[in-house]
Amino acid sequence: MKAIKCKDLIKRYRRKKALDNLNLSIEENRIVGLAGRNGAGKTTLMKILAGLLKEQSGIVEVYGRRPFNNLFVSANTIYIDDQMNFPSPLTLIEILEEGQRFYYNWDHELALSLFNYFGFHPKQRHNELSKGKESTFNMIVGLASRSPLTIFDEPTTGMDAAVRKDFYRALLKDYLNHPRTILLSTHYLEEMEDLLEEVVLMHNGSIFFHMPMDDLKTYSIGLTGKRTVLEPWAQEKEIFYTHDTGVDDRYLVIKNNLSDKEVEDMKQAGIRFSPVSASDLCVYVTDEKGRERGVDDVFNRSADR
Amino acid sequence: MWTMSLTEVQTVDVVKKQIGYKWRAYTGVFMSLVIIQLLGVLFSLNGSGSGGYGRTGYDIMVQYFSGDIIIVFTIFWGFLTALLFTTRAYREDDFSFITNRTSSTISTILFLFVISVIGGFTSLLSGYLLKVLTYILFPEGKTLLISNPEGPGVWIMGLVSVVLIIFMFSSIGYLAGMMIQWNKLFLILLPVLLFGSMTWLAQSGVMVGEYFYQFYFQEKNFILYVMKTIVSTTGLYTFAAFISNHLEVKK
Repeated sequence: MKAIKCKDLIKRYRRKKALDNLNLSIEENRIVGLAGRNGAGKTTLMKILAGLLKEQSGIVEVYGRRPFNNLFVSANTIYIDDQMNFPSPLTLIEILEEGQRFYYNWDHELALSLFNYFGFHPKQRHNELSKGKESTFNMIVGLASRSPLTIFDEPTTGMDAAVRKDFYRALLKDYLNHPRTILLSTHYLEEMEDLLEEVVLMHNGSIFFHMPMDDLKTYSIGLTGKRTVLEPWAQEKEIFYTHDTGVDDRYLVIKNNLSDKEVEDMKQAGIRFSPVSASDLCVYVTDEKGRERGVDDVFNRSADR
Repeated sequence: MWTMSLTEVQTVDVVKKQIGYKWRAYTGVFMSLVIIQLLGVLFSLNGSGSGGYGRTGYDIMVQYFSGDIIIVFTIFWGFLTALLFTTRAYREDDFSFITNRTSSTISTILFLFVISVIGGFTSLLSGYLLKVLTYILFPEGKTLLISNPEGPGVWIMGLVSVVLIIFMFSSIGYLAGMMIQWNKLFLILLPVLLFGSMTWLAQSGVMVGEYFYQFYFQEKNFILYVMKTIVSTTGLYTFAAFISNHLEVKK
């Protein structure tokens, strides 16, 4: 059985199509990163999967059932974001105890040891926490629930670098000991390259690509050289990104399917090769046309005036 | 090797857990109950009516005290608490753990029933507090304490009546709240429509408020009263549940 299956999924808000004929299928017991620019539809997709939002049309299934208003999906899914709402009279420890009462696979020992490790006080309340601390606490709830489908929407919001590192480590260890399907969206893809097995890139409400992390890391390659030298080589290649770095220097990202001979010839012509990280590629391919030169352009233009 | 297993759950189990969760989480509800009933006692000390005689050398002043204000305040508390439970923050609290709309609504309604029982019970007890206070505070007069003239049977009937009326007003609050959550326009529309239509009907001689009062509060037949309130409450909650089924949480 697939953990997640979406077919021609559409979700429309009043003015904007948030999900546009989205198709996605994720196997059980994978750890999958959901990447995409702001407004690509990541949160909408995740909330629909958790049964919090209702799809407009299309098919969406979590463990074979439609998530909206479904108790089975709710019992086997947890959705963690940075806007978790817990009753304000409850202390942090009491919230964890409620989690234990609700979730069937809840590991209270894990919850308490993480709680102590990250230096929480049992009597603290959720609304008294700083942004980073709040995210850390929510992450503990997400991990300890051991839900067959665990969804983290931007789990690292506000966390400092050290805590993020701890989080990735805790996530990986717990995932290896207790395999389950974990879907997480993040703007720190570069930090999670060693953690994620698959990457789903969303763009404008649909899936741009869905591939194993290992493939993604070598999917593209960066070329640097004189524009006049690069141009003839690039003509028949799939170009993901073009950036003029100087008066006549250019940086190109193309699909990494060059033959050995081509590589040799290009090196001879003075073209330099560089690897492209998964996160950079995700940003490059989803760059809207017309913004190709980036935010620098905005400032250059105003300086000209 | 640990393997992931999927769990089938029963609505009843989740509802039970949700009620326990609310019981532990919403202690503020009982705090406000205590405050509002103490206020009720305070206002009741003013007396609900008085009369006097002056004849042949005697001057007799009679001051009446009744716990009605406490009950009215508690009814109002039930209405407001239900309204509060429909706000997004409270609904989202449910969805932080396992639930669907059905179990969330059912558990909220059952929890409102539980607190209606507590509110009704304590409002009757507050009546005793009032009696004790009048006895202490007005030592110059002879205080005539009237209680349970017809034994515990009548007292229990009184309790049931009070609980049911609080529960009914909680259903009104819950429905109003759900309508407002569904469309914010109802925040203005509901009072305008309610008072507008009441005024309009009053002009053509139909006193809705009076009719309402007679229909529920002046019903002499206990069984009929119980049926009236239960049917109304059920209808209002069903309508509210219907609306809440169309609400998305966590936008």
